[in-house]
Amino acid sequence: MVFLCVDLGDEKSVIEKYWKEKGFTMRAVRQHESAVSDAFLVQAYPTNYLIGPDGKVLWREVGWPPRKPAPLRALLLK
Amino acid sequence: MNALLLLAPLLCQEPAPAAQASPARDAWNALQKTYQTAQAIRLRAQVVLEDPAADATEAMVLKLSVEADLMRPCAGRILLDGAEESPGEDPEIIRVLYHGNGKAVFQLDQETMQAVQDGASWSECSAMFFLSFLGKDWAGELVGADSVQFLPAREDHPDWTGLALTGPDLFGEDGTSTAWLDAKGALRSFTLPIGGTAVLVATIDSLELLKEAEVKDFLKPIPDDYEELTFEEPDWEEGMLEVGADAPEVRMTGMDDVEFALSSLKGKTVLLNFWFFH
Repeated sequence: MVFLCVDLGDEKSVIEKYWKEKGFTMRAVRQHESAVSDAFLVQAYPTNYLIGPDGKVLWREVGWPPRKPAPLRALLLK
Repeated sequence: MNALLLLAPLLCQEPAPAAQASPARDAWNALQKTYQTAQAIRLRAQVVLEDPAADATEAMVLKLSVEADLMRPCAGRILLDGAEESPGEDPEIIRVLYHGNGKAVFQLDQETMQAVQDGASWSECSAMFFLSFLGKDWAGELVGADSVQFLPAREDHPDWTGLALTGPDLFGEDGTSTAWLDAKGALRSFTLPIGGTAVLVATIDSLELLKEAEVKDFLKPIPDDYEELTFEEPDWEEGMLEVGADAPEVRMTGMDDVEFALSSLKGKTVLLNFWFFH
């Protein structure tokens, strides 16, 4: 399981500072001119996509925490 | 922040967890019941939103005077005096209609609406944000409190009752809201954590229960140049990639400055969390 936090366009130093402050261990990644957000048709933040090992979308939702946590939990436990 | 604001009404619609019984909870329930069953209320409040950012230049304090007459099920008039960008500017009247289903419909002039949609006007955004909750449930259901505890008496108002309401805040983060009730059981102060760092404090000068007739004159026709702005749960997922669709071929850059393709992670389950700080 890979957890990628795809930043919209913050400075690298801003992300580093925030990660340090919060003690996050998950990976932050950056994108060029919102190319990833656009490709995933992201319309609001936060948005989460779960991509299966076959490269297909397993689940996606806008907002956090998940409004429908049960299907997500089931997918993650698979 | 604009996107977060737009999401807030959506997030707070999560069902409140089952509550345990206690004298403090009884006091809170009684307060909610008072306002939820009232036909109309007249609210005079000072609302302060403090968002202390780590970087002092990003810190924000928003102060608003709010005067509102709200009538169930569907009408009201709200007077806002924003003091964010230009203190002392003329108060604006924003018409707010509350539908019976809890939807708040704001009728704004086009210029104000554009500012709100652009996220350029913090005072309007935040006022509407606050009022949409207040108007939806008045004093009730602002927080889905998991537990309610009494607070120690305060020095300035020893006869007030303080309640600490612990539960998820509007953004689903753990937080403690406080509500202060005066000796008559009226709500006088409300503190709401928002998203971990920001705090909204409403100091309520008065919150009267009115008879319907007292606010009837606010039910005037809406001018033609006003447009509706509805705060209802949008279908944010509409237009997104469907479940079962192939993830697009995209490239990302790690914090080590190494670029990689999402497809290089094939064979693993990947959770992509789209976010931004600023």
